[in-house]
Amino acid sequence: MKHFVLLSLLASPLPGADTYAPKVGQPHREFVFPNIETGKPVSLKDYRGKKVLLFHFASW
Amino acid sequence: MPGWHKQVSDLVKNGDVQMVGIIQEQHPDRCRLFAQWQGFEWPILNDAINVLPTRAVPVVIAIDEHGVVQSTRPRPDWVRNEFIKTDYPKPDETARTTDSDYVPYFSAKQLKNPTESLLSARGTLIWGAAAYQQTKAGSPEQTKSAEYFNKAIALYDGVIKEEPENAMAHFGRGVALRMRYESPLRQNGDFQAAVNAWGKALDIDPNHYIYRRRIQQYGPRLTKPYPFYDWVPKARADIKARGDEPVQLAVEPGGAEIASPDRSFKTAEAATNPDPKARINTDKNGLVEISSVTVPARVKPGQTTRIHLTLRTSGKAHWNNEAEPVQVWIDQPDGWQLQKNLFTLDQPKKPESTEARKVELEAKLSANSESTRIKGYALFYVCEEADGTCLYLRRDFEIPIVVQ
Repeated sequence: MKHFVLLSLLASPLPGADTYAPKVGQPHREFVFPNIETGKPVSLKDYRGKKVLLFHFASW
Repeated sequence: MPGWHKQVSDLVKNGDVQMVGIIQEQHPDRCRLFAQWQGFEWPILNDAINVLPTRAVPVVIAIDEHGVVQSTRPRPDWVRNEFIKTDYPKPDETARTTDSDYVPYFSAKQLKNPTESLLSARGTLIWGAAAYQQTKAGSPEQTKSAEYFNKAIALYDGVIKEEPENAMAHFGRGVALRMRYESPLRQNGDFQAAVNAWGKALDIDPNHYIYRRRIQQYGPRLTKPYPFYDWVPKARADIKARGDEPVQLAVEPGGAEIASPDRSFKTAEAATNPDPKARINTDKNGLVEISSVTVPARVKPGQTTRIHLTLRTSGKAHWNNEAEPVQVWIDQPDGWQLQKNLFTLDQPKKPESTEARKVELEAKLSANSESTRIKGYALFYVCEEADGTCLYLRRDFEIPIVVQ
């Protein structure tokens, strides 16, 4: 299995496109998503006070 | 991710750093199997509709104890020598978003009466899908929770009516349609509508990696970057060899999802049409239903499309597996290439069954192709539920190909 990283820069915002990108020194966008094991909500706030490595990935 | 997992596992065990995964998949159970195989013991969250929105994977982001980003491209040695050893200052709280700004958490009660908005559509789909995925296959609870997909689709329809060029709404609607297609509330045309919606999202935002990958997951081998789920058999074997039971998958990946990329277009030797004069009796009572989906939904002359055919017995009949297997014949339009014309489908060993049977093939259009309908038919043995009469029948079908 291979993973490819495609970095794409938008010249201008597209309709309906969210151009958020995490920036060093700024708070990460807050989120709440279901845990894939339990379906229960987990938010970034739950880890306040801890150093977090956030991994965006896919099993493919 | 497995590399990172190994390099910082001691830090995770010591509590120096918390790993949190976010996946972009419609099938979180497949990632659960992957995590079980790789020994990931940290929480993994599901962002099936790309709310965050990640435009590439894999990506690692280092976030400090106050929720502030400290690196968007960290290295394991930096994590070990600097990140975990630094006390970072508290940030200006006014710059912070809330966790409901982009997708709200919906409890079961809130899921019942969502308001009309993009946020509501997202919340309904994400939390409705999470509820659905926790139910037992075939249970009344599963069917009931599949209603969330209907709600999410209706909410996305409302958003798209107001904002026809909203790429994220089209993508989310496609995800909802595909989820419904795999649920007990599946409607004819859901899969094709999902592919159309993803295609629309990609038309609007052609550089979006996640949108493109979703279409490639089901698309032709020519445009595939890699096989998506070919790792599943090895994962299962390794887990069993450890003495564990692999996570069960709700939907088995197959066909395009496990096909390897192939930049050439190979065709099988010409087969003989088994019923060229249509002499086999036609299935006039609709005992078998045949649907087709093409991925991508629209193609240019000379390009390749992948055709997904699904054959399902209606409630009025079942497959007769004691007779010969189902055959599917597809006519080749002039100047086109088909991988194969004739397919013989696998059937289970038990004497009768009602499972969906699938055929996938790729078609390469001629250089001057126009939109057309490829014709074909299936030959099958079925037995009627009413009186047990077993019949050998033919059902014709057409596959619409939209050339742009």
